[in-house]
Amino acid sequence: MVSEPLLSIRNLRVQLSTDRGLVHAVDLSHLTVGRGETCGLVGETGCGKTMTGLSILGLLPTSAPGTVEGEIWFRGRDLLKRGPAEMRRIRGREISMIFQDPVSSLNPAFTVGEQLARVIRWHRRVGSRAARQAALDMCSLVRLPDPEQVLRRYPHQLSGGMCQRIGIAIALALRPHLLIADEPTTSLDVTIQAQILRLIADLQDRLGTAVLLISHDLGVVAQVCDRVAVMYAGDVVEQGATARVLARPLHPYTQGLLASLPSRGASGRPLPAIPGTVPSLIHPPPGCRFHPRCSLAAPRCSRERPRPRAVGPEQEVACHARGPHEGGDRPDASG
Amino acid sequence: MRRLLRNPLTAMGVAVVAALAALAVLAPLVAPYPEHAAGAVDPVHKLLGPSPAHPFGTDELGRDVLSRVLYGARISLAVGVVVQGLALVIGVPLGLVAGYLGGAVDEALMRVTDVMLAFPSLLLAMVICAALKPNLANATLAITIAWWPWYTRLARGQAVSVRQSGYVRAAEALGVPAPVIIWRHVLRNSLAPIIVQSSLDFGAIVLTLSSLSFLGLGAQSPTPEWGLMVSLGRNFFLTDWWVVVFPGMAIFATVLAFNLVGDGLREALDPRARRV
Amino acid sequence: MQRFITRRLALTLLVLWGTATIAFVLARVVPSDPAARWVGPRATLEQVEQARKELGLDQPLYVQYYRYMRGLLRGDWGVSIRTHQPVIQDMLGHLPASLELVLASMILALLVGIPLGVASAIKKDRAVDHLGRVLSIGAVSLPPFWLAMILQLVFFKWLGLLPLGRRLETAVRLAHPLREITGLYSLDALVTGNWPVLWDSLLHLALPAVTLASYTIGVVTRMTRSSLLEVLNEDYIRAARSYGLPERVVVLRYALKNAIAPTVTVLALCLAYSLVGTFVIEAVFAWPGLGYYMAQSVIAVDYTAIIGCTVLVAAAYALLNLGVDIVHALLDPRISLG
Repeated sequence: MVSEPLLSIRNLRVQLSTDRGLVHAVDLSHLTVGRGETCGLVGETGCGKTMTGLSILGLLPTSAPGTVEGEIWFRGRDLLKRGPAEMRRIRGREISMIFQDPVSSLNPAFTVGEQLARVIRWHRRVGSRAARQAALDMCSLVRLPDPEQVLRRYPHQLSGGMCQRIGIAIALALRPHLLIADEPTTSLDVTIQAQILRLIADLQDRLGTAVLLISHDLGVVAQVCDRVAVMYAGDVVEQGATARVLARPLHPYTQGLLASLPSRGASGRPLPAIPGTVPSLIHPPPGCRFHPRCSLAAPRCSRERPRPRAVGPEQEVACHARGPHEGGDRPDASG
Repeated sequence: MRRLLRNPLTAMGVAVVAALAALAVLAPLVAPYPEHAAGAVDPVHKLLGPSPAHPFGTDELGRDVLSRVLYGARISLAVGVVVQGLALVIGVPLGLVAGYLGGAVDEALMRVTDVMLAFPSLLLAMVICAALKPNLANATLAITIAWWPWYTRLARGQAVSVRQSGYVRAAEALGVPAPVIIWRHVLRNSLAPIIVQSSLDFGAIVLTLSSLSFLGLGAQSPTPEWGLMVSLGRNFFLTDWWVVVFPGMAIFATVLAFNLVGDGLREALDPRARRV
Repeated sequence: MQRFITRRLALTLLVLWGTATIAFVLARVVPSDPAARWVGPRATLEQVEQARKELGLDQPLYVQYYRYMRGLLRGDWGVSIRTHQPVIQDMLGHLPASLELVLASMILALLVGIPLGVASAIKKDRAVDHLGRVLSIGAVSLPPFWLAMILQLVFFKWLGLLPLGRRLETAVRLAHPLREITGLYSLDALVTGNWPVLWDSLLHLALPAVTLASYTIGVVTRMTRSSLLEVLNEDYIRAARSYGLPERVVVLRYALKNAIAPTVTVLALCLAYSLVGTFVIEAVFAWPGLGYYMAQSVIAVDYTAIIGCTVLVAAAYALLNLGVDIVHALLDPRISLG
């Protein structure tokens, strides 16, 4: 390894207790994000992507008390071992997040300007005038037209796209090292989606922020990400350089996802779908969690959990059917 | 039910309600001086402090406070049951019909309840009691008149929301007659909130009755009504505290128990309340 | 917005008319003869007849109703049968005492209820929350007249700290004459710098205000807790946390501002409830307010005074509700004003 990655998650297990039982929301063997890199985290709804993002910030939902185990290394510290006060200093300043629903992620009772300025004032300990100037600067950075006017508005008076620009402005106001973007474009119109994605990519270039882009949309990830990690039922089943993974997917689930993308299927024929349904995370299947839906499933798959292993310089996969012989000959990538 | 009793406070409320009901039924057997509840006096033993012979002491006419408190449970619970029953029987059908039919019937009924509910219930009950002759029966009537509109409101709200649901639409499309739909679907789906409200209201009814009696507008002497007992004890309580403390504590315990049960029921039956 | 306010105003007018009518109907069902009470027990039959004419009780019911309604609108609410004073004058004379009591209890309820509700929500399912639940349910279950007497027993009889009742000690009143401006003694004393009276009036206010506040404290605590819990689950709270804002800013500024609306609503309802609560509590503390006046009138079957108080309280209740609805509509930035 050339240098230590910015973020490295190892053996992260998140369990939430709900009314219906204990949910094994995340059981992730390993995921890394390098400095200044854009990493896509893809998977179906409910596969634990958002929970992974929230665990990095130490923000699990208050409605379902849960436990978090494992290691989340960020700039030489294990975030899971930090106290609440230190985590609060890391949040916003070093790691920030933007959310799926930009309108409901802004407080309806304050103007967006107050909300942006408050974050700046709190972290930088500056006066209200300086904070206001910084807020205006952030607005022009995220290319909001007529910032003076916009900052005086309440969230409900702005469009979803404008709210998301405000969300990005707040998240990047303190120049964090890592931005977690949780489905930042899902609730927006297609034209706005492209603008917001371009904005994130552009700001990342300028500020050198690493981005963990959480999305269910492989198309979005393909556009902007350097690396991609495919998540299924709480674990990353395959990750690597976007170009490699998309060109030569090895995990049967990744292959299924790619095949069901409209642009990839030949027009006129029905799109192939992955058979079966997403497994319950209360009683996840034993062994490989994908085996009930997998065309390559062998007896071993229902007994033994596959470990991720390198199948080339920039790709690794967790699947019994894909041995080291499929790719390069390095035995293990995690060492 | 198990979820209900898992909360210790709710379980305590249920236990107190059960104990009260038992004591009310068994009052003639457990009360040491049943005749004191009926009005017999014993002036020789007046205003005695709590002792083994009179655990709650005696009042200004020498009556055993414990016996009167026990008999008082019969009155409070009976009035509660009657008022609750009448308010439900009058209020719920009106609300269901109004909510299901909508239109002019609904509009007229809702405006009537608007006016009725513009009176705080104790005020309305007070005025009615003052207009009629103050006694226990009229107090019961007055509280009922003040109470039914709440159930009309509640049942109507439920009926309106159930009416818009898919299964009622489907039943209508199949030509099921309106009364059957109301009975089968609307009432059954409105039951949970009505039960919760009834439990919370039971305490409020007991409190209203005792307030009316305290003001001289409810039960009259020598009825062993708790509010009246507190009221009669006012002249002595600074020196002889037990004449006021025990009857009042009975009111408090009863109202508290029903409120705890109602609160527990609400959390158990209302899935929205449970989530938060 | 305008349609909403128009509709609310129309509804309030209907309610006001309805309450006045119900009060009239109820008072006219009173079995005891008001005219006989007017002239007193020693009057002759002729005097009673004379009084009946003067009070308009010989007229058909619809004429009485018309005159009564016209009087209400003109501010002529009839003459009290007990005091022989215009009812409106009687009520205005007793109003400041009740107002002082109700306001004091509201302030007390907010000072105790909101922090307790916030603490319960933050420490949900912990000891503070359970304690808050017991306290708030207990507070709404207390019979106010009994609580009043228990407090008298403890703070007057046993501890000797606080007075038994009334608004001021006669000695203090004579030694330090109070210039009345609002009729709220503590406020007047504060404004005029009359410290002995201020202290004495606060001492007298303490027990009645605590008694009256008990119910409101319970309601405010529960409401603050549940609406705050709901708000704390919102996306924007999670977002605010993700920006690294400290918990006290997240809860006390971001969440509370959104959670306070339902609390304001129940507070208005509690205010109306408290007006009725004064009927019971003022009797115990000999607090010369509207409730005291109403209780006396009820005992004397003074029907003009009963109607007057009923209409006044019901009107206050209806107008409070109207006010809350309008304030909500104006305050909530989500309701467009266009």
